[in-house]
Amino acid sequence: MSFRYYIIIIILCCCCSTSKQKQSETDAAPTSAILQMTPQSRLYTAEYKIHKIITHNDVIHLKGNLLNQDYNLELPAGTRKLAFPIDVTLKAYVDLTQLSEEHIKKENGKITIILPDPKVQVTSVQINHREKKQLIDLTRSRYSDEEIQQLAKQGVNSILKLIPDMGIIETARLNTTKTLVPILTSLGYSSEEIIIQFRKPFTVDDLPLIVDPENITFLKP
Amino acid sequence: MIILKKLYKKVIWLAILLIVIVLVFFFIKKASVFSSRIKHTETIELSPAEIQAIREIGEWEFLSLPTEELVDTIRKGFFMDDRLVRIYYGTLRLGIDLKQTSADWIKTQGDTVIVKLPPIILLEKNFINEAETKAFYESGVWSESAKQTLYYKAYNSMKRRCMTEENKKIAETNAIVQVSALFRSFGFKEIIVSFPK
Repeated sequence: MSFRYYIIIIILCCCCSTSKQKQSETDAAPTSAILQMTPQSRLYTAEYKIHKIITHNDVIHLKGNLLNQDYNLELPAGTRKLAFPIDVTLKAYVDLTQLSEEHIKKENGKITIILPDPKVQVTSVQINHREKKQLIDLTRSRYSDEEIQQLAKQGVNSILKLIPDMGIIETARLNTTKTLVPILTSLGYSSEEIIIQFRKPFTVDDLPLIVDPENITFLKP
Repeated sequence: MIILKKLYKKVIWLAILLIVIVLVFFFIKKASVFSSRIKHTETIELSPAEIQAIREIGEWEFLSLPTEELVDTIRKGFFMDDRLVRIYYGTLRLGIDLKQTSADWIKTQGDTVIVKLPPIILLEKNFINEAETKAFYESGVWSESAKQTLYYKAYNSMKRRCMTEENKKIAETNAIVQVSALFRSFGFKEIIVSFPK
């Protein structure tokens, strides 16, 4: 058998392999677990849906020092670019388990409720895989799944940093009042007799207090 | 004797050469005459975040179920198989939507309050946090639709496991405890909380 026949056999094998690939994509049985069931009493009053296009321009630089002179060279054909949209849902809530008789005062027919600080929870993060765009130079590899997850995390982190400027806490306060006032009026109070109080205005320094501890991992750089 | 002298000279030259090489090496290392490293761009670019919708909601959560799901898919090949394994994380939040309450959901009779709550539902439909998803293993090139299929597979499995009658009952029991505690702090002695059958 000549060398030519070997080549034909190898090509045929490759063809069989690729045609088979399309047919035999199988899913294994999923493994799952509920991590910790927690009873709650959270009143969610504001929902923000945020859309962000995450872009990453990965350029390879050769950085160094030659005879005490710094150099920074961009390597040719070593660039790759990625863009993908993410949709994040933030919900602000008041934890009603922290509300006790100490926080409710009744004087002269009026009721005053001092509510706990509102907090923000990331309830959903969706990556739009179908709209993902990659441009890869010859010398580079495609973005791995793990790299894309890391970039998505950075994107969510950057959204969380914007929370104090979004006004979600103020909206949550307003909406909590709108939710509680009808409950109290149905208990016999008139709207003039209801006073709902909150804490001081929030700033960037309060961010670790605002964002739920469940999402604190996002805040780490 | 002459041979020994020649050998002695050669050894001396070799020693000098060795010392010079060692000195040059240390000089380069200490004085940073030449150093280089390859650097990648690791951070994302600055881009604006667009607030698409602000919604006033009234959702009261009574049970949260953080859950994880390991899903994988295999593509059979002639020489070797390709595999994609992912671990999805999400939290299913069970509670009531106050917008579903009837007009007379709270009634008072003296120091008794009767509260009729709407049914327990899943508060957030898209409960998976894809930024927390772990790409456990990836071999071969996978299409975006294959990844999306894995997402839906994990989503359905998580929902099926958590949205059980048993978990809804646990949420209802906690709702009765929490609603009673709230109205008790408003000064009511007897609180009757009910759900639609």
